[in-house]
Amino acid sequence: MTSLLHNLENNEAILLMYLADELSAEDRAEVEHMLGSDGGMRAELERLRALHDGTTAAIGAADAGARLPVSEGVAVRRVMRMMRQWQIDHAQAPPPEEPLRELRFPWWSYPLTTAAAVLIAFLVWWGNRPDHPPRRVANFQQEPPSGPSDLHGFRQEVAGQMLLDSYDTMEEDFARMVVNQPVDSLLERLKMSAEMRKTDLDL
Amino acid sequence: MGVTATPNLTPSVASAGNGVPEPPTDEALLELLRDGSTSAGEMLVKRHCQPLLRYLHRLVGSEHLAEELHQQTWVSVMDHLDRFDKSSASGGFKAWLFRIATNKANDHWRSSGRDKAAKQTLRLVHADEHAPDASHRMEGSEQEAKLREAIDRLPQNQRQVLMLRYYGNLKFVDIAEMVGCPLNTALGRMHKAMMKLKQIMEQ
Repeated sequence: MTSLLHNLENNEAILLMYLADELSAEDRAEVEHMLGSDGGMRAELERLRALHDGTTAAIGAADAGARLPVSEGVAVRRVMRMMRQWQIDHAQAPPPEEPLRELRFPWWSYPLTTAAAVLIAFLVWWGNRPDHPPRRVANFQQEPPSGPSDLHGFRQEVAGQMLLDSYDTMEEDFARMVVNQPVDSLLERLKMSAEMRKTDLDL
Repeated sequence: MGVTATPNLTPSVASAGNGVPEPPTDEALLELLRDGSTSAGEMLVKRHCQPLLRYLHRLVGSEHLAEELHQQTWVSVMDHLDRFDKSSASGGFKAWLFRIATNKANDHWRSSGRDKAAKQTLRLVHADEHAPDASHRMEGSEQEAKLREAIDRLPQNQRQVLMLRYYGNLKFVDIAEMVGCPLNTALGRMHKAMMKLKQIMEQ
């Protein structure tokens, strides 16, 4: 046991600890040595002993003449009822739930990734969608017209389509306008267009 | 000069002698209670019922409240059964039990506020004194009334130390730790409490 004696502030504290028998054997021997040589300390010890005895006797006498706040039997019964209930509750208690599996990434990253994927898919679609409305393409697979008037119309349409392709930015209305022009005029325009292209490429 | 320490006046559990089997220790009973033995729990409750009830009664001054706190103390014991470690707990199970009871009383003082609690206590004490069967109660004795008055007039911190020492039979070192003050302070409070009690009882 470590020495407490030198941590005690005054004689009252030392003597109370001595009376309570809470000092180590060495400390007790030291206190008894002090008591043997100090009459004042001995008197103080007797005063504290009388005070302690008087207090405990007073409380004991008062308790002997006083009933408990509730009879012991009733108090024990009530506590036992509560204790049994506690045991029942804990026996029936469901096993503790397993903690939720921890996510590898922060929870907010999942909706964010989904949104980003949707956005990228949209942009890819947007970038690859056709710029112009589908062009009217002459159906070369169809049977060529048989009669001279039909042949003329067919040639006109093919020439118009070729001119339309050569310009590449023509609107459909303009195309309609040019295809209604005579075939020779269209062929002339077609030739001019080809020459202009060639010049552009040479430059 | 025969200097001897005053023996502890608080009645303790009967010790073994004359071939009578030694009663199980508190710690052994607690182990059994942990394993679900209700009878071990009952033995523990019975063993500490009187001092614990009286301690709480003296501390809070109300019979009703003392009984309520007594039950709360045991509920708390059940809730924290696994936390009690006899090897590390200073003062053993009894000190632990009184520590819980003290905390319950402190919680009560804190939650209701000192003034409110004091008023309630006064009202309950008053009601008790004027109850129809008060004349049949031993607590109506002059000594008990004087002691109750004296204890009521003690500051809460002095009352706590005195009651823990008397009813809990706890060491001053444990009391100091329990109420959260230095050992010298606890000894000083004990001395002042005994002096005031003596003074009031002699009036």
